[in-house]
Amino acid sequence: MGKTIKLISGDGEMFEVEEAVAFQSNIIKSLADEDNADDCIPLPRVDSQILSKVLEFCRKHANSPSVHTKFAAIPSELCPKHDGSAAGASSSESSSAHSETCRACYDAVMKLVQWDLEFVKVDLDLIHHLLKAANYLDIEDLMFMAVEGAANAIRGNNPEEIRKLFDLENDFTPEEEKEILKEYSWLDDPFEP
Amino acid sequence: MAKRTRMELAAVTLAPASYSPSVSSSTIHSLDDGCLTHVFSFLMPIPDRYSIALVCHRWRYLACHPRLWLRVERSTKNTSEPGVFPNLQDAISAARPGDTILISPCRDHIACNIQIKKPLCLIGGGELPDDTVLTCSRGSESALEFLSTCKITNLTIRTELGYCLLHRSGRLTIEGCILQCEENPLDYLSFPIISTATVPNAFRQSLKEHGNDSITVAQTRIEGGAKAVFTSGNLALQRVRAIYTRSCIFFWFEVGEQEL
Repeated sequence: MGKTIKLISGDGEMFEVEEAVAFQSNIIKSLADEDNADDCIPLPRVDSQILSKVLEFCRKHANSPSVHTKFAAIPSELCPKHDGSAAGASSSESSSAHSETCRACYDAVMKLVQWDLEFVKVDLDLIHHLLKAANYLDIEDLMFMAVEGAANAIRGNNPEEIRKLFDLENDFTPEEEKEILKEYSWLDDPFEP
Repeated sequence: MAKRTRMELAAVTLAPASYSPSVSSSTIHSLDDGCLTHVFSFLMPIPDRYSIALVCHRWRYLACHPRLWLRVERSTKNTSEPGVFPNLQDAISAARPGDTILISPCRDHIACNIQIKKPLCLIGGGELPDDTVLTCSRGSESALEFLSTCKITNLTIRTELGYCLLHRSGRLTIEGCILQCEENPLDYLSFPIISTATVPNAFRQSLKEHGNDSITVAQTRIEGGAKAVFTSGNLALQRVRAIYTRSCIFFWFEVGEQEL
């Protein structure tokens, strides 16, 4: 086992992990660069249950090509050529170009993407905690997947179903709803994929 | 700057306030606007972004926010930003069905033979349609060619020869725009709007789910050209209204199936 880092969760549990795993988090990396490498790094804002999930993710990503977050929103067909989102269109070019030419890398990335998609097929509560942890610990790949997980929970549902999932109230009056639908009347079928 | 201690760094607030792991599932509410917008950006406009606009006021505000729109900006300094494009053609290529493209108020946008095959909304970013000008140079058939239901609003489209808008199919909505053909001896070749769409016969009409191909024009100035609308299919100009001001005329009309 290579050099390890000790992390202490908010509820006092100690996790010892390899550097490559812990350094997925830019925050942990910068904290570890500070003076004493023997000491533990306290993470008061992450409890043990979430931290263990986060470390599970980091362990999987520790020695993998870190390209997949550069793919824009991962489409259902999992094709790196398909640009599923307007945002990030330019940043996906170099990484997907490499994946297209290197078969081994491409396969590894696709496997990783599959694993990630399964990883975030969890209830919204956990996704929410993962989002906050990824933000706090500054783990780019986890942030991306947690957002994808939340988006996936929304996809394909009608407004009422979405409200149920996210525990939201409908604060529109019937007139307001009509107004909104009128705004979309230029479209043929805004609710049909 | 004094070196920060490890404890201080660990206490830095990066996440939104009051993170508490033991709270129940309603903690999904405490996602801040930036985070929710990020999630919404992963969704396809049709149907998901429109569905979320009907969930509640806050979600509607975020889902319809210009942050989720594509932008066309002529100045090069912004082109590294995701979602910002140096020209309209690039933005249209990158857009997904149902996206909105905001075109920056600038008078030298180019639009030559740009085909639009997916439902999009193009919006001029200025206060008046005069502020955002798309010019189609001589040698191109049209500025914009529509093969899908679309909406354009608050834009000026100008051609030197040829058509401003070539409508092939779909329901086209033109609101608050200015369509200009340059005055020139070949005016008979030049029309602000031309439609080649054809209304299907009664049988085929019943198979069609959506409204027929049509054009709806509202509060739009039309200047130059042999006539405002030329139809080579069997659509007809109808319900024409005009308001005359001192300097120009605003039109409202529809081009659609001939009403008996």
